[in-house]
Parts: sequence; C-alpha cells; structure tokens
Amino acid sequence: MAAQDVVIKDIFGEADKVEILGKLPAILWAYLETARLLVRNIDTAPGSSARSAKDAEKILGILESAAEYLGNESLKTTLGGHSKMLSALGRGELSEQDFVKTFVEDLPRLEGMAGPRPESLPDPLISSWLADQATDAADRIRKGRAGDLVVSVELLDEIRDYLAAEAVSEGIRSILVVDNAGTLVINIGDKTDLDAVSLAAVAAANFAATEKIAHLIGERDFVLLFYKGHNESFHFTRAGKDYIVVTIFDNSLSLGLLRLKITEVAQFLIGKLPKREV
Amino acid sequence: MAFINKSAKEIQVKVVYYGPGRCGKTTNLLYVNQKMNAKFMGKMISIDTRGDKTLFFDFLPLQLGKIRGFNIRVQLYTVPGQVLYNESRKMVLKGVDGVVFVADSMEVQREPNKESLLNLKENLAEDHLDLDELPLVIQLNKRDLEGSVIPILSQETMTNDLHGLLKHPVPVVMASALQGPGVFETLREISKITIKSVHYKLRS
Repeated sequence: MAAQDVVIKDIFGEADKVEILGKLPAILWAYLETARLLVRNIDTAPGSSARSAKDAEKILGILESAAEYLGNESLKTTLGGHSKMLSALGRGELSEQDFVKTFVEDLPRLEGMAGPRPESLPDPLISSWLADQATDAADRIRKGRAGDLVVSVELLDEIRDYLAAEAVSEGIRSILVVDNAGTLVINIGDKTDLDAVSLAAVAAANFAATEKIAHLIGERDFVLLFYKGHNESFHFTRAGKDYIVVTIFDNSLSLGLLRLKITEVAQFLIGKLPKREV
Repeated sequence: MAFINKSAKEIQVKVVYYGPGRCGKTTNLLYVNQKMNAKFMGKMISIDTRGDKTLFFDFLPLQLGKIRGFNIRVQLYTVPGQVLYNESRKMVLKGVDGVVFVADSMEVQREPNKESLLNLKENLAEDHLDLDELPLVIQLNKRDLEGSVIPILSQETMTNDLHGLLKHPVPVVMASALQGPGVFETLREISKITIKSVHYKLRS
C-alpha cells in the first residue's frame, strides 16, 4: 500500500503577505485617524486617553509587522518610536502633554508615507472586526506561519494508521482528507497514479458548489454526495466544519456499508484534527 | 462560446476575470454588484473559503441593453487565483468569450502577474483557444497605492511586461477596484470588444 501524506504547507502565506501590503496605506490612514482622535481626547478630557491609546496600539501592531515585511527602515523606525511612546504613556512614565507634543510632530511624516487619502475610510476608529482580522493575519505572518491549520506529523501518522487499519479494506481504493480550502491533508490507499493535489482542490470546490446549490433551493447542505462511475465511485462527506472526507471505492462495495464506515471515520477525524484558528 | 437565442432575441456571453491571487478579481465584481442598478443584474454567487479567497468562482449575470434588437446578457466570472486551484480555473474558463486580465500593481507581484498570464495562455490552449485571438483587456489594478509607501510598478513597466507575452497589444485600463475608478471602464471595454467579436463570428 502506498501512503502519501502532505503536511499542510504555507500555501496561502504569500497571498496573506500580498494582501496585508495592499492594505497597508488604508491601515496607515486608519491609524492616523485613531492617533488624531487620541490627541483630541487628551486635549478635551485629560486623563481619558487609555481607551483610544489601546486602539492605536492595536493598529500599530499590524503596521509594524507589515513594515517588517516591506523592509522599509524609515517606516519601521517611526512606528517603533510611536510604540515606545504609547507604552510609556500607558505606564504613566510620559505625561499626556509631552506625549502630544512629540506625537503630533510625527503625524505629517506618516501621512506622506500613506499616500493620497482615500475618499472613504472604513471608520474613524477602523472597525474592530477589520482590526482583529488584520491582527490575526499580521500575527501569523510575524510568526512565519500563515497557514490556517497545523497538523503535527505524529497526528498524521496516527490518522494514517487508523485509516489503514479501519477503513482501507476490500473495496475502498483511496481515502483523501481535504480541508475546506482544498488542501490535501492525508491521502491513503492504493491508487498511486492519482493526482491527489488537484483532486483535493477540485473536490473542495465541487463540495462548496453543491452547498451553494443547496442554499439556492433553501437547503442548508446536501447530506450525501455520491458520484457513481462505471467502475469506481466517489463519496463525499463532511468531517466537522473544516474537513471533507473523499472516498474512492469499487462498485462491488455496497453504498450502505461504505456510509457506515465513513461515518465512523468522520467521527474519529472530528475528534482528532485541529479546528481552524481564524 | 456565446449563446444566441434567436426566438428570445438574446445573446449571452461569458467574460472571465483572470489574474494572480489577491489581485482584486472578486473586488471588481463586488464593486459592479454594489454600484449597478439591481434591475439589470442577477444575484451574485461567490464560492469562497472562509478566508475570503475564491475557491471555485464568483458569478454575476448582467444585462447590458440591446444591440440590433438583441438583448445582451453578460455573465461575469472570476477564477481562483492561487496556484493550487489550476484545475478549477480550467473549468471556469470553458466556453469563455472574453477575458479581463487583472494585474496587481505592487512591485512584489511583478513575476506572479507574468506567470498568471502565461498560465492563462496554457489553460486556454488546452481548450483549443488562442489568447491572442480572444477578446482581452488588461486591467492594472491597485493604482490607489500610488504615492504611498508601498512600491508599485509603473504603467509602462507593467504594459511592457504583459504585452511582451502577447502577439498584439490589447486595451489597458488603470483601476482601483477597491475605490471604483476603472472598474466600469474595464467592463465597458471588454463588453464592447467581446460583443464585437461575437458579432463578427456570427457574420462569418
């Protein structure tokens, strides 16, 4: 039996970086808005800066990782300075007046880096949703790991052994565990000529497309997805929210028996595989 | 392959937005969907992952008025941009009448732009279509980044890069799908040349 497994790789890493770079000017503007709001707050109600300072720090975190990826030293230095000032303000080591004085001087320089001001900004205080999303993405980039799912080699081995012992038996040719985005997590079985990577991507696309069909006719999803071929057939089922189990089997195997087995497999996988972090 | 229904006096054409991952293909469709009169538009269908990446395609049917008594319906599709989804891209490309190639203006995307255009050429060739014969518009997206700290490619560099891979120059539109400029210009341009080519094919 040939077993091939693929640890989920950083397939979207580059895409995330491209996205965060594309959004950098917009995030910079959002930061500038927040910073100006912070200065206004200090002016009108001294002593009330804590909350807007926290918002500014949050966006600053995203900007710092984006600046690191961009490799722009001057932006990095400016943002680093702001970060220090904000935390000194938070700790009470820097008075609000001194903070405003140095901080305001720096803002026009950042505006120059942000380019032309967009006509519509998401929100004066960039909606928390956007900030959370961007922080997550930035965090993953900072840690050098942008893939959403991480499956350890030990766990892959355990699942492969389980599948080999319990599921790949007479009739079942191959089992593929695929994530929602079409990444192949595990491929086990004796179909060595299978282009499993493409199959995984297309299977996930197909599964998502049939779900849309279900929505169009008012169903949540289709419980059973089964394609009958002349010699071999396909069976698709969900394992939790994040994974799809694709089974390729001989037509000699009864569909009922297969469904029974695959339900057990899906339950096992739900218990073992990690949930998506984002 | 355009679908012409003579009894209903209707011509249906398929336009596909193609380009590297994260270049803004779906954003183009979303902008059209937001700004166009709902009367001339069907429902937008997006098949994506939870991370907002297109997994299979986005689909938006539009009605673009009449030519010689025929109603013109344009179906806009996008493809998934990530390299992994090549098989899905091939499926979406089947029967295409016109292509909008959305190129990303960011400097880091210079090579991915070229790779994606070559990939389009290969995928079309598999379907016995020639990119140089097909109605094509190049959209240089994300021009709103100009003047910011993000290094972007000049119009000239991008045009030279992409035209270098084609036999004849094609229309180039500068755009910012997020803010709107250029989105409808692109749509107008591709509709015009696609319908012209369908009309030409009909006559011959």
